[in-house]
Amino acid sequence: MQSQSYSVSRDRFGEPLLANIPSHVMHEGQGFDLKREDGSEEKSDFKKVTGEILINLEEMQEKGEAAIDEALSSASKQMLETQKKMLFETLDRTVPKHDAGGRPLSAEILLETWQTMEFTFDENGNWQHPQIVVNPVQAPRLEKELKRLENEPELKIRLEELIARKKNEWNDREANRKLVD
Amino acid sequence: MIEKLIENWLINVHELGYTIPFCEVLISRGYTIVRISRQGRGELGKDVIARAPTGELHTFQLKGPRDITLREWQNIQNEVRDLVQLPVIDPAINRTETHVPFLVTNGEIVGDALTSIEEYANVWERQGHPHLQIWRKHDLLTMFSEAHGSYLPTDLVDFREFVQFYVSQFEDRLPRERVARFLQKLVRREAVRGRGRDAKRAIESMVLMAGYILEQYERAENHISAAEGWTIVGATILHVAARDRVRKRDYAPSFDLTWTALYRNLQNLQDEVSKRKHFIEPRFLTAERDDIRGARTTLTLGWLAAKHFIDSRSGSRPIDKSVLETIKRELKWLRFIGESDWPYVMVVSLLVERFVGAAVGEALILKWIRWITVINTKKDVIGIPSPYWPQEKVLALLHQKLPPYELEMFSGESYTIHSAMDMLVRRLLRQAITHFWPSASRLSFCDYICANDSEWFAWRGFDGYTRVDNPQQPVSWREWRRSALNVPRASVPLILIENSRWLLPFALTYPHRVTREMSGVIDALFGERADLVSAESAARTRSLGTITRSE
Repeated sequence: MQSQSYSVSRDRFGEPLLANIPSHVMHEGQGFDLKREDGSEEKSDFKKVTGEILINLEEMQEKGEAAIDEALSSASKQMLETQKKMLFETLDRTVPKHDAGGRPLSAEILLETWQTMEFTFDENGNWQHPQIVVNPVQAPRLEKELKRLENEPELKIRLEELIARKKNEWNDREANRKLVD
Repeated sequence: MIEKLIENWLINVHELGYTIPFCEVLISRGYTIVRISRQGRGELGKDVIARAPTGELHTFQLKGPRDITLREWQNIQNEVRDLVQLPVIDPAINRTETHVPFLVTNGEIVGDALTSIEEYANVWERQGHPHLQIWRKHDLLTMFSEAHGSYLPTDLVDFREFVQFYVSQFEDRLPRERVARFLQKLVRREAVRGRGRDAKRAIESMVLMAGYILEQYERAENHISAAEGWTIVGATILHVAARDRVRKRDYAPSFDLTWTALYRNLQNLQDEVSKRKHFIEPRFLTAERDDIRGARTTLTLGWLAAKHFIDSRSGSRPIDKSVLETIKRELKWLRFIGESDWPYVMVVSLLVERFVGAAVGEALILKWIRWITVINTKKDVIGIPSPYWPQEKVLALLHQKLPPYELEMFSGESYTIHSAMDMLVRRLLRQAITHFWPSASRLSFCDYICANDSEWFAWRGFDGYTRVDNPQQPVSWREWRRSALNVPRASVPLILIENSRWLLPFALTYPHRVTREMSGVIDALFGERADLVSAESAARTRSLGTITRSE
């Protein structure tokens, strides 16, 4: 039973967005008080996230344990949807927005958006690509526009310039990790 | 049912084992404990000296669990004669004050022994000595039962849990969280039904229940588990006292008795360690891996160091040479396995820097910072378990004995590295901080901030917040130093500062309560490296909770 609870509440596999976010267990209290590097602060209370499980015994008689997995999967989905909603509420509040003004997704819009973001680089100086979340309907278009960024010389130069500028900013930030008098 | 278990315990326990519970029973009957002899070496025949509610001085010699036969009576006669005929010698008692002597046994007095004892008692009385009173098994059972009153667990779940504790493997580590939760349940708000007398009775019954369990750890010579258990009892008393605003006079006798029990175990630990040439457990030789032995070494050295600081605060004694030699000998075996080791590492480093060398103590802290920085800044690793993971659970993880649903991710954060860096800042190790800061500052610094004193002493809190601090860059050395040197006194419950002997046992037993501020208090009181200041003064030097960004 415990491992089933785990698969519902903690296992985020199958949900690519949430699965990529590190999760930490807080063992007590009613929430957390977060201070960010930019000096902003946020106090947040825990919210109860639940999912309903309904297992039909006759269905179970027919399908066997698959009926349990289906019920758990449905509960898991409900919980993940709530978590995603909470995530986007937080992002809306804390991350700068870039309004494309109704234009369709394009390589140019991606560059505009990235200009508003901080980039991170690994220890070898390689750019850590930001994760892009889109409606599945948009996925083929996104793929096409990313290819344009790789192949069209003008876009390629703009991206390289952007990365170079962001790298300098990142270097400055990293150099700032120091003690001063 | 539970009364039967208590009876079973009482009639089987050795005299030394029931001394503390017996004293708790006396407290419940209105007695004030004056003195408990150390290790059963009754002073002038007196194991316990207590003042009765009538004002009379009562002295007790405890025997058991064997029945007292005529032969046994002949063996103990001299001790009982001393009990009756010799005066009470104690700085708090006038030597001429008369006392009422009691021979107490949790067994029976059989055959002609009773007649002989009574005859001797009459003879001594005719010689002008006080009349010897006798308490036997059935008297004790009645008194223990009355001490519990209506505070025995009646719930089946509680009863089952008590039975599980009662028949545990007493060589194992005490399951601290389970014991703390069980004891808290015994004194929960609904059970206590008020402040004053009700709270007092509930506390006394809880101490007795704990005594039945912990005595068995003592019997197994599992000194650390017993000390941890008595620490939990003390913390639970403070939890109720803060929650229900119990008057000090209503909880102090049980609280002080609990300290006596805790300290006895620390003394036993020190005595045993002083005699040993190693910490290897020959009974489990094949399981004696370096991490298991290392974890045991960390625990043992931590408690030994804590005992030294407790002793030095109560009378400024020099360090026991054998303790110092043991610590020097075993230091190389000390291993870090989780962040719950932090209070142990801190207290050992404080002792080592004073008696072995500052560089050795600092090296231990540096090693701690390096360890956390290297592991917890890595991505895609579990990281070092937080202080919420007791050592036994970390060992289960390391040896792949943990079910997958219990796994957590710890990388990217730390509950202790900021406390460790504060120690280096107080010791002016700027170069080391400069070296570690670029990577250490990638971690989120976490602490659980309790909402009130009552929560501090509960195993888990419900009203507080976890503070997650990602410091702004760059950081001012001068500001950091100023805040690290001025620790707000009010950042830990005042009762812990007023009863500072409890501070280290509490920190070692409740590592998740050792916040950055608590570490600062320990460094101030035992390392003498910081000042405890008022909240206003601390505010003037900026909050210790945030490493201040350079202006």
